[in-house]
Amino acid sequence: MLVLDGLCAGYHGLQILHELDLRVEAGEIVALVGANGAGKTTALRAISGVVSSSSGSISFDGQRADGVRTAELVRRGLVQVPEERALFGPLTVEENLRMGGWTQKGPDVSTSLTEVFELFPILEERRRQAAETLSGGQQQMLAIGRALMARPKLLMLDEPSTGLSPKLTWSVLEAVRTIRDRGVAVLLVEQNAAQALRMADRAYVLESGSCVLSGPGPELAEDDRVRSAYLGL
Amino acid sequence: MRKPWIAAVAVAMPLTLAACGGSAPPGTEGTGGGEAGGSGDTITIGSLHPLSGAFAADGQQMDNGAQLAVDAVNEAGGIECLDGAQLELASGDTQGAPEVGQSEAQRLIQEGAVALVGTYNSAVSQNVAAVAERNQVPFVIDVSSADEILQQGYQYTFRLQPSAAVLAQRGAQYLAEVSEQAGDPAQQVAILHEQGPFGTAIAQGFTAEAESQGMTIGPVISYDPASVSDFTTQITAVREAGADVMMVAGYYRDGVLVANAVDTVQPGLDAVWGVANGAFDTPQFPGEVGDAGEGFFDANYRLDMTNEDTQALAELYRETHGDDIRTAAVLSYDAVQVIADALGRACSTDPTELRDAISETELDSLIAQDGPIAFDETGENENAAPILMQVVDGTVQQVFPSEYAETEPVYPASPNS
Amino acid sequence: MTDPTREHGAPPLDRGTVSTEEPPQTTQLTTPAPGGRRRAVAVRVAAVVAIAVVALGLAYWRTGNEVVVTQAVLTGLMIGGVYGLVAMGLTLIFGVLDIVNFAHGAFLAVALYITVEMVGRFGAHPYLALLVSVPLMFLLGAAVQRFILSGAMGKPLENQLLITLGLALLIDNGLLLFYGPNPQSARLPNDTGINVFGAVVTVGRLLAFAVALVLAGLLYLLLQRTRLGTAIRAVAANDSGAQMVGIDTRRIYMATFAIGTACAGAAGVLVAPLVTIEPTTGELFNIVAFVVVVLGGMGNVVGALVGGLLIGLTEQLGALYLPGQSPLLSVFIVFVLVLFLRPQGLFGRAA
Repeated sequence: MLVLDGLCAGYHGLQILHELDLRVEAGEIVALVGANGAGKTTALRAISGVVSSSSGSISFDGQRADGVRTAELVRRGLVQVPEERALFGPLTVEENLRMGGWTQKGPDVSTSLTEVFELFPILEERRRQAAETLSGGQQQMLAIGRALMARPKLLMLDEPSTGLSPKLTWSVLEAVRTIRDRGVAVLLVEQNAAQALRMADRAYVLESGSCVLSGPGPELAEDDRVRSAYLGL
Repeated sequence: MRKPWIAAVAVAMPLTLAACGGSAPPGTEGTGGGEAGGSGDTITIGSLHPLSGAFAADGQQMDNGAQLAVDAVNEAGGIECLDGAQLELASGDTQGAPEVGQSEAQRLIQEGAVALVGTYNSAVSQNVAAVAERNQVPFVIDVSSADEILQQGYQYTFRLQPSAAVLAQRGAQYLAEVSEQAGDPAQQVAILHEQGPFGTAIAQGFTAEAESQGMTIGPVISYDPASVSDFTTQITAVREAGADVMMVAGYYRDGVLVANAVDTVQPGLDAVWGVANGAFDTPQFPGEVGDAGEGFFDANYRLDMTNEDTQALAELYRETHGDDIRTAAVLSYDAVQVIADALGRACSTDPTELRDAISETELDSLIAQDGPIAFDETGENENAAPILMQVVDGTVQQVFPSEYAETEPVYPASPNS
Repeated sequence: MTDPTREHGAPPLDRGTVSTEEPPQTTQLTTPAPGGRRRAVAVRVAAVVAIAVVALGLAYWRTGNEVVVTQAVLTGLMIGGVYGLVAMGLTLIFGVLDIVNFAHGAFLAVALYITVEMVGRFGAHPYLALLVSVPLMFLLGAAVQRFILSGAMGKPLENQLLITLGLALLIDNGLLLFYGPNPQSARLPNDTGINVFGAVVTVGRLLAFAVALVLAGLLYLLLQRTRLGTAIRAVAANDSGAQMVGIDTRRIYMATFAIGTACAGAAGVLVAPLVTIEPTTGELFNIVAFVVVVLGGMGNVVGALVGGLLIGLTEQLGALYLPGQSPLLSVFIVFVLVLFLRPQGLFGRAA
């Protein structure tokens, strides 16, 4: 569904990604791990059109996706939850979610809202609260829930475990698994490699902007090189 | 890069439009009027007025008035003793700003103006007077009230309109005379004045004279003419204080608001007494406020409508510009006439000789005043004086002193005000 | 950026820029309990009421005359309501587009002249001009944003300041060229005074106040209860987040600028019967609007209305406290005081 082919991208003349190849198929969770500065976030930003690529291609669902505006990508079903979550702070939880359904028709929005509340009951409890008054974990759930409202075909998550306790991280990742089970493909970028690799169907390890290792998640989790470099073992 | 040229055009266009008024980059110091009189066939007179901005209505009229004077002199054969040399008016837009007026004055002098007229705004006239003095070019002020301009010992600046001190003093004097004449002497006078130097000077001068005539002054309320939008509170305060007359010194916009507020609050005054008020004696005022302005007085310098020549000029202005001529424009007309007359006596465009000739002027004016135009040692027109106007039956009429009166004053003004 | 309608005691969401090198700072926020936030609002309301009571008491003591004080309060509220309407459009534009729109007053002037045309050419009642002015100004605002300002988005502040300033000069001089400098008027027929608690107000001013409040209410409803309004608030809160939910932010900028300009258009019509109409009349309101916007909190629509009322009252009461001084002095004092105690403005979000 999502194909990166020989992608080179960067900022202000500084090239971060070098000939990156990556694919995500329907119905799978793909993890992208690597150290700080390896280029994981850059890859996501290149996909959503925030960063322009100098060569190579990005295609989504058979169509070219390079240089396409973010809003248009959302309409096509490619939705991202950025690292900083980008929530609408002063708006309520419910308003945030409804805005998530901006590209959807009215009845679909109501259905999706119910589904999101099922997935994250705490959001229903706090539906009338301002987003900025939620705790870190709740905000992350809201960010994911908002992305789901757009009925994505592929959901991209940039470091969802940031600022969360291991327990919260686990419940968030559990939710991600549920999302995959409902038919949404997931591209998961994580610094917390351990949990990510264990639940991913496939994974890529990035180093200095290129892919150095790839394969089924659990396999990589057992790989010695990965264990010493990223899992501190 | 998304069209930075749009930004450039957006900035350039209004600057170009503003430049249509004749602005130029600030000029360098002039070296003196010298032989700047032009080819000898045309003599240039500089006209400095606010042609754009908040004062453009008066400024444009004044520039028109100056041009009509130039046309009149040329039609009569130009300056006789200079071989019928024709006059030419060079206009500058001061925009009502002192720095702009100053640079415009420099520019006009550099381009050969033998004399300047202007400027309407006291702050601008102050700067232009300094430029005129430095360059030794005569400057005849048509409208500017600040006393200080001619208290600095300048030799090259002259003023036609009565100074603020004269306006205020006569304003109070007329109030005493008219109210006594009507058998209802004014006793307590409230003052509502714009807070700038103009309004303050009028308020102070008026207070001094009024108190010496036995009146009490109070309350004294000032306001910011640039931002005021309603006077109901102030007029209510005047009513509650029990004043029987209210003196108002301000500009056109606020004058209209005062009339509206008086109409709304109905303070029961014997008269609303303008002194050098920018609204109460203008031809537009009764039209804009309707009945609310009926009976309003204004003691101000004024074109003399009992004078046939003035009537002819008003007629001409109506034909040429489709509008009623304002007193300010007549003053500009007079100012150009003063210069032309002086050129005719000096028979020279040398600035110092011209200046000397101006100082000896004795010229009949189209303005109502105590005698012909004649300047004292400081450059003030010693015969300049205000007369009293009143809005009677929807038109502004001259009512006092009797030699200028078109009709009798109505005092108390009306049961309503 | 800010939510135009919500006032808050809670600290803002940390947006920060996305860094590729470091993990972002923790976004665990201290959460005041809902009851706590309500208490903060109540305290603020109580403080304002207390100040109002003290102010009125002072005014009474200074003048010894309750009629004058009542008049000052009444006039102040009436004027303040219109100030609020003018400021609302301005603050909305700032909250969403981050643009300081120097041309706001000029747009108001255009509305003044539309009213003059309607009254002069068609003999219509001045308020009928609302039907023409609001849609026309809406379209004008949309066009200006789309074709002139959109190029300046995201560029340095100086660009858009220059552009809106240039636009203001262009409009003012255009009006001067077209209509001349002579004052015009667009009076209301039968503008009588109405007695309110011993003070008096003209029908025109009362109507202007009432309609301003209605329009403010409509704007509030638009922002709070409609999908478009929520999207506008979303863009104001987080521009990139809005893009990530599929909102075409360019359209929202255009719509917001159009709405803001339409507010100026409405205010212009309401104010036309009350002022002398000259090309520079718009600039007077521009200055007050900016003061009100900063006072009320930039980007906050409720703040703009409250700020407007406050400035209106301060102007009138100030004239009573300090009769020899300009009322602007009182406005200045209040302005400095409020910003000193609360730099973000009355309803603004903490920086």
